Amino acid sequence: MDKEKQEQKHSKQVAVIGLVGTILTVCGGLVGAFIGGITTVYRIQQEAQQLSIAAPQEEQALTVDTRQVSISVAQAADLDSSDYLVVEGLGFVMAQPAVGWELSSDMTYQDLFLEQNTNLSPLILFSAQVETAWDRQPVYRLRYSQPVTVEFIDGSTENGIPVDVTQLEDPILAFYSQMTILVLEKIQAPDFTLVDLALGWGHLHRGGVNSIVANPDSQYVFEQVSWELKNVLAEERNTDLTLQRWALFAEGNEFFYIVEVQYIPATNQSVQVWDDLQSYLSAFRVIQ
Amino acid sequence: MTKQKRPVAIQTALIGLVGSVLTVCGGLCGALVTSLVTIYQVERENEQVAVSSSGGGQTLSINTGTIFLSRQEAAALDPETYYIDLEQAFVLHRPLPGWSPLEELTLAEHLAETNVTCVVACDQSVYRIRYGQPIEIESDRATTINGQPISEDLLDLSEQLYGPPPWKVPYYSQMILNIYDKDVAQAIGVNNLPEMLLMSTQYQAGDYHRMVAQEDSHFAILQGSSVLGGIRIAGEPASMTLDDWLLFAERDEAYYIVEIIYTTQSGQSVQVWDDLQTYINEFRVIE
Repeated sequence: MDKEKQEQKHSKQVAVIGLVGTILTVCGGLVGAFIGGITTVYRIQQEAQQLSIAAPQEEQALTVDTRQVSISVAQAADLDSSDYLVVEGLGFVMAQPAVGWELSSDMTYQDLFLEQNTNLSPLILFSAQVETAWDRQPVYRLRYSQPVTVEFIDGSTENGIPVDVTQLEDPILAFYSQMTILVLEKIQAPDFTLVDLALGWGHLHRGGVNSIVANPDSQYVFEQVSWELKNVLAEERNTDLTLQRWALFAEGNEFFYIVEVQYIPATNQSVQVWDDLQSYLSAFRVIQ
Repeated sequence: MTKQKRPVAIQTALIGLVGSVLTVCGGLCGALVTSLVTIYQVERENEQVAVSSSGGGQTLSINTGTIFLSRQEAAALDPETYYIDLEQAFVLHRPLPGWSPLEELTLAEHLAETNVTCVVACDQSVYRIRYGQPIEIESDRATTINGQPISEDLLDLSEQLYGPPPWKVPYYSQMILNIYDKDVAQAIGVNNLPEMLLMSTQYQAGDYHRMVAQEDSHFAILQGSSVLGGIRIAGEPASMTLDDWLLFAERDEAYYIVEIIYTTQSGQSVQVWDDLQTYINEFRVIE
């Protein structure tokens, strides 16, 4: 009798232990499924925001996290001023220059034109805006101090179009790896929407446009273009050179921001130049 | 003894049953979580993009997940409802009541209707469906677009096309499909879908306020609105809003541009808008 009771008690204990095991298995499975699900959702959301655009035939892909382009005034105030330049009056944040780079913070749009014979910033290609209210719009620029010097010669082409060397003030131009930010007051550009600016910049690069990205849930436009120089003299040898350009178009309440990254691949150039450009674009923020 | 054993056996069986029920529930919940995540993924992929006009009046919805379909799927569609062109690899909804028959033109013929002489890609195909009668708009050098004066270049172009002002130009609510062979496009310097988008908007005066172009996708969407001020309609001073949606898509051999133009006018049935929504919804590229 006692033995039977003990066996019954024992079988009950076994069943309870089994049940506990089952409950643990169920809970574990559920928690695992939830973790897996949440991770997948997070990954999808991150991928949707993280734009990574490579130049064709190049290894480099410039990445911008469109989710993080906007920050609050309070967040901007918390940023480390040794790493970031907070331009509160113009509503944006940019990186401080790394070693080997120069920051120009007192330029205007007109200044870009004044140096167009020595360096071509694609922003100045908005040629219809010369001698308008755009002239006084502020420009901030981070420029790598060592340019690639290019000499146009007979037979040189720019995006497939022959260059007439006799029409150049100086056949030798210096091309820089740089990031240029044009801050355009909306009231000074009443004919433009953000999309118009992006399309305008794209129109000026027709023949070399590789990507335009504008996600449905994003207020930003990202473009990538190539600018091909063929049969030019660079670093004392006849060569072809492809300038890679990216542009991020963003806006705040009062301003449009055209953030333009230009990369000049050059032999013997440190890979750090590319890494610096990536970090500059990653650091750009609009203060909302 | 038997009486004593039974309750214990029942209790043990019940415990086992609870375990089984929990396991089943766990499995079902796990499946539910997995399903929800999958649905979320599919929803992201088959994104229904709703693009409103700048005034917020009309919102065109485009299901970007269903733009492309296979030849088998196209062949299974009802030819009474759909115009299926296997050679040019697209599907259009056939014209609804009140709309013109589906017209097939060349680009040169299409442009010639507005006095524009075609210069490049003139033999490329244009398909068109128009609603009823056009609104004839009378404009001149004082006309404004989106509150701004028209540029001198555009005014000079208008004079070249239509002679001295005032200019009378008909505007339709319509759907236009342009198809460009990629070989032809490449010959005029268009190497990819972004460049087709840029070429198509280069000469278009408009206030583009929305663009959707997802990374690595084979489509793009643009929305523009133009408010024409200082015009005359039927001899009376007026203003008019033109809403314009452009859907760009591509396959290996061709680019497709579907343009939806909607003219707001008093007395026009809301059905016109619904019909345009149907045309864009049912457009397909056959891959």
